[in-house]
Amino acid sequence: MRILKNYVTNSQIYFMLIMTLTTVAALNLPKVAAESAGRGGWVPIIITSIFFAFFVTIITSLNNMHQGKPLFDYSQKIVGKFLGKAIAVFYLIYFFNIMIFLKVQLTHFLKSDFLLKTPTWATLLVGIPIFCAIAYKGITGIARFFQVIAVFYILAALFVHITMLTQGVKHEIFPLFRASEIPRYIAATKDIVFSFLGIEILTYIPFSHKNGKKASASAFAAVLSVGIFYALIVISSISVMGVDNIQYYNFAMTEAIKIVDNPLFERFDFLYLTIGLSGLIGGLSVVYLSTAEYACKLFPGVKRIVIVIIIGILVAALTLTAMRIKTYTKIFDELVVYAGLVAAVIIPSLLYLIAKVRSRAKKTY
Amino acid sequence: MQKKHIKSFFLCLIAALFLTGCWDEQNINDLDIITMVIFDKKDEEYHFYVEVATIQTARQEQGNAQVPMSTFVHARGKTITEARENIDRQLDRPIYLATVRTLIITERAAKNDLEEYLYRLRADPSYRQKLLLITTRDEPEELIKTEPDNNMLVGFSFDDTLRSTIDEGQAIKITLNHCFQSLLSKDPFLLPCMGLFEDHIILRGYSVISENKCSGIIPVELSKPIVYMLGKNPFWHYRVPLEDKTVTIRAELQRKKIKPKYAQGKISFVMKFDFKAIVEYFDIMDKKPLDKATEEAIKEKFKKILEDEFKNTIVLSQKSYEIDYLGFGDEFKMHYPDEFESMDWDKEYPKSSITMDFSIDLTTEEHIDFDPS
Repeated sequence: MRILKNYVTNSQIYFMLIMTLTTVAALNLPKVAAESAGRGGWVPIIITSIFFAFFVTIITSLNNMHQGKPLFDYSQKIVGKFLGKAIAVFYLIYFFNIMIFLKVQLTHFLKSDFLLKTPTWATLLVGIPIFCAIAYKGITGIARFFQVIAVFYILAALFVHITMLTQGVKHEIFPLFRASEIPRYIAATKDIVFSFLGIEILTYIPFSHKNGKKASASAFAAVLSVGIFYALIVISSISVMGVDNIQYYNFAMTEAIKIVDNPLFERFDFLYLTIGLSGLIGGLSVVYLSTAEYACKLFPGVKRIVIVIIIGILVAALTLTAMRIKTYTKIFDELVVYAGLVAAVIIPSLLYLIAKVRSRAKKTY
Repeated sequence: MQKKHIKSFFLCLIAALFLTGCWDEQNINDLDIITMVIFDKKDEEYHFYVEVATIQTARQEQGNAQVPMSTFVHARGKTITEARENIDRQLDRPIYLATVRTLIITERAAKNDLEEYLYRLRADPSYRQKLLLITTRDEPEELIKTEPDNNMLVGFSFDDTLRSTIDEGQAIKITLNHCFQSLLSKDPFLLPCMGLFEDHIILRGYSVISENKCSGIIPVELSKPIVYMLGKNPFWHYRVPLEDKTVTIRAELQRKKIKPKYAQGKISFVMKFDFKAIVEYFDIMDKKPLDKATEEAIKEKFKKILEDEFKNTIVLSQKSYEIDYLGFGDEFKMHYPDEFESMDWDKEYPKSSITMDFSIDLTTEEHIDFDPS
């Protein structure tokens, strides 16, 4: 089997970021936003999107400064071999844990909304070989897949959520903004952070000269688009389900979609089932791929196929264990915000600062 | 190349195995398909009546024998849970509730047990949240004896009757999801009340639900302004007296605006309604064509009718019930959220001042091939 080269175009970066960020997080974002900021749930989303849009440009700038190399390689150049490898180990553990969490979420989602009687281990095991195959193929294949599926996904999602807005109740979403709630909006950004984690996937994608500075613009636009898209999801879901009711549903977005009446589709949620779920699988594949990429770099002597299979087995075993721990989601929710900020914000920012200082020092002497 | 095709074929084959729905696959013949549920409370006992649809294959197996479209199963219990479990015991196959089209709760059950029943429904993912919840004053035994037109299922007939009334702009739509939201926010709301009239299913009015209890029923004759205020694309027909004759008009609500104002601790609302009044027919043969003076007279008379109707509806809500089921609180909350949170709306609402402003655009030109003027 031929392994595709790890390069992606700027438009592929745009769609990859949109799909990776939105497909999983969007499911429970209306609940999280309504709980933490009420009707103004869209405000912390926009604030957080601007924050992450800034930091995604730091990652793309770093990648552009070290063309043809992923973070694993250039971090060793910037901070030395030992620290560089330590950073890679951190990313490997981080992506691995995110993968387990997302698998737990996906399995619970399928169980609670669609496959009520199917045991969770069955839905979990069905997905693993698919993720293994995608991870083995490399980033280029999934990036091309996203370029195609993302257009359908975005169009279908816009159609669904705009239809929801037309059927929603006005007083459930207005007032959209309350000056007296600004402290609450700011405090709520902490709960929204998880929805923007995913920009760190760019750390293992090497940029070529073709990407150039436009890559930063693409990534910036993608994260802002995600923010606007999230705001639409939250507002439309609250308008349909009500701000109090929505807080009781973990996968509030699909619950809200089920309520919508449409003359063209008797079961409106089937539209999500087909296009949304394919996006969801794609989003999960990217995280799986991220884990595989870092593992391959850390263990260069081991064949890629062996690595993806080992990851698959470990993910299956640990996801089954995690599903048995009642407090798993709560503990993970607490920790992931800090780990995510380290992965997406702190490490890239530090590397960028050190790289900049060094290049200036070189120029001075 | 051939090896690749074989691999793809086996991959498709394996994928197809999973498409059967795994453990969730169920044969429709192995389920009791429920289309209507009636919940009642009588003599300190809870009652459930469920309509079980006879599926096509079972009807075909019976040959030419007269097989009913459905059968009703009745169970009772000292608690709602017990009554529900007794239903399960009486059914020979697993119950399937995703097909329920009508959920009816009797007025006496809604008086004290609506809250618990709604919490039960909310916890059960089998019910679709799009369902329309209905109340009734009729006895469940009478309702289940109904023989709907076109040999339909009783549950379908109730749902179709209400939905067609909503689609024609003559009723308001309250889904199960609206009820859940009101249950949690503790806002008052209305539920359509249906029953039988000369063996036909009709909308009788609206049950007023406050603090998750049924407080009374507004008859359908008094519900026109309610539909104008809470419904979608509402219209009604009016007979407007003019001198010793009458004009029949169809009044369509074009726009509505409820503007709240909060000044010096006083709450006021200005309601503005723009109507299009279409002259359907009239018997003023001596006034042909309709002159300006006659038009103005019709408008004035019609405005007076609307003012009286709306005034009665608001007085009923503010003075008789003292419950804001017309949604004024929602309008106020949208404009003054901080003030709303700091006040007791249930106490403030009956004291608030409400004024009305109607604008009427009278026309005779809406008929396709008929000129009433």
